[in-house]
Amino acid sequence: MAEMSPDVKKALDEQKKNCPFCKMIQGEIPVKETYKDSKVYAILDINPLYTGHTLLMPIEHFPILPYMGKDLFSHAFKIVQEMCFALKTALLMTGTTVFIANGASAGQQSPHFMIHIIPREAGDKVDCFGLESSKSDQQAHDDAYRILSHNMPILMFNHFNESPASWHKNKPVKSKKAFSKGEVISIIEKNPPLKKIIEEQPEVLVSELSKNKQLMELFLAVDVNDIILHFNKKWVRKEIVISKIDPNDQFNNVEKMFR
Amino acid sequence: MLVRCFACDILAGTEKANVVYEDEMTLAFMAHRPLAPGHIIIIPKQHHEKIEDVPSDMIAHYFSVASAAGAALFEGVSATGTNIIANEGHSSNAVFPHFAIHVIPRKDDDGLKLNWKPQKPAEQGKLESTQKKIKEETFMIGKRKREAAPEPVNLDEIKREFIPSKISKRSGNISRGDREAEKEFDNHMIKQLKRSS
Repeated sequence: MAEMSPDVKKALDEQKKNCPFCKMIQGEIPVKETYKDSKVYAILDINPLYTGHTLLMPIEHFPILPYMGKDLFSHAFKIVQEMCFALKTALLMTGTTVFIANGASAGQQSPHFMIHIIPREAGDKVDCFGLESSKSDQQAHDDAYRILSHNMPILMFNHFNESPASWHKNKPVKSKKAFSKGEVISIIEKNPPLKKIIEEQPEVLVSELSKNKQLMELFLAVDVNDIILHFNKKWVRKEIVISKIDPNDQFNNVEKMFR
Repeated sequence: MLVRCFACDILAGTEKANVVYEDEMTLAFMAHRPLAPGHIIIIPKQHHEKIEDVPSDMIAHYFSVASAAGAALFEGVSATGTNIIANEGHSSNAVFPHFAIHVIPRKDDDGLKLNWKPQKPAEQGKLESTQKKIKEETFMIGKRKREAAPEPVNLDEIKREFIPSKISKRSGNISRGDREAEKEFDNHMIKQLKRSS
């Protein structure tokens, strides 16, 4: 949740005076209200996309989602859940779409933050929420994956520091990529050139370990000496150091970034 | 799960996905057929089909993961806006039958048509009748606990017990005593006919 700087707060105060939705909440403009409590307010849209199109908004004036406080955030989304259930039972529809637009390029048409809840059923002719597409830039998507897999755990780490949850343990979940000893042995046996190297020239393996990323991932969670001894009985135990990519520690590279 | 669910397959490991964030209750991964580069899908690790099946203390967590994904997209893909969309229930646009939240980055000239044109204003009478119907339901928000959805029943494991109950004549399974009484009545009628003819 972002904090507002004083400039932003000043701009917001000016926006509030002209905001039609703040006026609706205070009762200056007539609206069809469906739910009200101390923090949120729900009305029917005057230009609905389908019967029952609801707008749920917080009574305080925010432009976009990141500026909401924690308590208001959790309360608002509990009410979203209840509202979906109420819409479905009242209008006998089988599904709903919850739609949030942050920013004008996303289609936000009002300065006041609101959540659209639209009841849906299979076979209605509402086409604009199709969320799959076959034409898009796969390369840019993969680049985005690399960046996001780095940034998202950091953001969630900060989130849990501010609002800890009882079910969340501090360490991230173990990734599935670490192979057990039996799996490593079976992988080596399926790979005849690799097996040959271990049986005849195990020193080559040791020197390649620090350079080849795939070998590093293979031998992460196992003792390299044990594996070599399994194939080559003449191997003498040595101290082997692999550069540490611990699957349990996603923040290994983050500390280096911020030094 | 009874119906094949792509999201449950990803959680089980039979389908591949580029996972962006994982913790004990959620999984966030990149979409397989993205609307825009950076399209993220967030799913709970338990299979819920409708939004009201999700436990109410976890729903805020899933949306806060979505909000964090939106913040990461602002910097990562240099997006100028984000859309957070959840199609739930048996609706025409749900990608899989598993509650999922989509976060889509937007720029000014990307050509996506997620907006709808404002329709004609609705008639006042229709708005009022919908308002009344919805208010009857929202009146109960906060005042009652919704019942949890019943767990699916495995019909193969149920032991059936046959309890003979009163069976009506209409169903065709007539009891013995009634059948004999009918026969006597028929015989009586036949005797009457024979006497008369």
